[in-house]
Amino acid sequence: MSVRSSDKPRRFMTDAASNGADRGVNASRRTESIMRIVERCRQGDRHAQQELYEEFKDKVLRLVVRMVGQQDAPDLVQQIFLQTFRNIRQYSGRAQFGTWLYRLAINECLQLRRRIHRTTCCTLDHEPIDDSMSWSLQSENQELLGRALEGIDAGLRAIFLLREVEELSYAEIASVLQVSAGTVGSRLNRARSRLREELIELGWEP
Amino acid sequence: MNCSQVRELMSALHDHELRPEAVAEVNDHLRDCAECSRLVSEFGELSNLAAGLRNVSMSAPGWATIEAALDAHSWTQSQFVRHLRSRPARIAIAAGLLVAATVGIGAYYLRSDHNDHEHVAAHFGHFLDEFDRNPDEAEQVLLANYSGQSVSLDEAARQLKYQPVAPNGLPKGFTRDRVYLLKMPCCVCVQSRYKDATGRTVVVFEHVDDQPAWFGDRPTMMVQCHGLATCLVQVDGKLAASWKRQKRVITLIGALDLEEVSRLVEFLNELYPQSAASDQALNRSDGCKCHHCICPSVVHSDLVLRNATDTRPPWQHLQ
Ligand SMILES: [Zn+2]
Ligand SMILES: [Zn+2]
Repeated sequence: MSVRSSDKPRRFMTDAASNGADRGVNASRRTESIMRIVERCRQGDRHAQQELYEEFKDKVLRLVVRMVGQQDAPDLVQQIFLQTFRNIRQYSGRAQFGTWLYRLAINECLQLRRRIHRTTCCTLDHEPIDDSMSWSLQSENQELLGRALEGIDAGLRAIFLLREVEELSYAEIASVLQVSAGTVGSRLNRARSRLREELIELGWEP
Repeated sequence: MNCSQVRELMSALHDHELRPEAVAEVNDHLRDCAECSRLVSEFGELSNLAAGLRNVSMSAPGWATIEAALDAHSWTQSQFVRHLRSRPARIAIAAGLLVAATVGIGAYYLRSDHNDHEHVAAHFGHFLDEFDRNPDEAEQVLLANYSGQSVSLDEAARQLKYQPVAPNGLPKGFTRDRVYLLKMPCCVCVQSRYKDATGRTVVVFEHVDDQPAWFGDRPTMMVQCHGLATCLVQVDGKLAASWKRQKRVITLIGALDLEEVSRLVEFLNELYPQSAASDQALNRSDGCKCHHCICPSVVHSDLVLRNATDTRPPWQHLQ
């Protein structure tokens, strides 16, 4: 077992556009150019806003789809970017921009879920989080994981997705969720244990 | 280290985020503890499964959508909720068809307390928007949202617990392409996809529940066709029609013109189980004597428009 592997791609955080394989000089250039785009966004530059959107929309969509389901995803993505552009002056530049955007996105997801749970009966619970073209094409276990994810607390789901789907490091997750790195580990333990329980209840055989 | 200490570090170990000294200690424990080893390997399997979540089959809204929203106004949270709830809010223009356009179905479903209707209307609205341009892509909206499952006719009948009419075939010139079951909030719906010789797609939905929300608040027109109250909607260059017979609601998407709607209504009508004597009485099959018929032999000028304030499901308007 190796230690603190640094070969994991951190695609969103430093290198959203490329394949994420090169985290060296290119990555820091990428960060710089994102910072320049952000700077122009702060001044309300419409072209910069578009560049920023094109840069991050797919990552945000993916997170949103996994957090709230496909049905509300397009509207929520729009809402997240409207909030981003409205609040971008509040971004201090201390954390990575990606971290800030993830935090905003997750907050919006959690808020939407709370609203939906308050105002309607059961919509989300019945909606498959999994959005493969047709479930018959997908492996049974992946279908199960989609359902298991629905069954766990949204906060635990968020941390699991940040780690397993977005491939963030513990330090990055800590920064998104504003908790300590140690907390990240124990929350991930909880998330994985809960998922494991849900999966086994659904008939998963590890 | 004991089991509980090891388990506290298990995610960090799995994610390669553990201090080197701790890694050695944890590994020592794992060599002798089958239970903890099993948990570590299950974390690995979870990761493998989760990798499958990285691909998402839908795409983000285009920049034009975002820009329009930026231009429109600065939204408050409550406005956003309203926006979600009022989708779809599109008014298509039934140009070139007949001058009739009334709104009423939208009012019906918005008054429903149950959010399912709104979601169905939103998905179906999306489907209709896409249909004329790219029927295959449009279909994915429904398949993805309602666990679309491709089935044989036997399997469809088995799951529906009745013999559906629409998957049995359309008149000569159409070939059946696929049959899907969609798990809608209220019932299971069977979707039959046909192609004609030119490759045009015609889709027929059949289900047994009153679901008036499908056309959202698009302009619709009520007509009589072969004795059946039929709701017509223009979908870009094509026509959609929905009617109810016995307990079945049939919705047809992609007809070229009124004549084709009439032909397909008549054809599907013939396929109903003939044993239902009571149904025979309700739906006279003695040719087209209906006053407001859209069938080719009858003048089109005397169409019945729905009263815009009438919030009953469309097929009840003429019955
Ligand atoms: Zn142990
Ligand atoms: Zn007729």
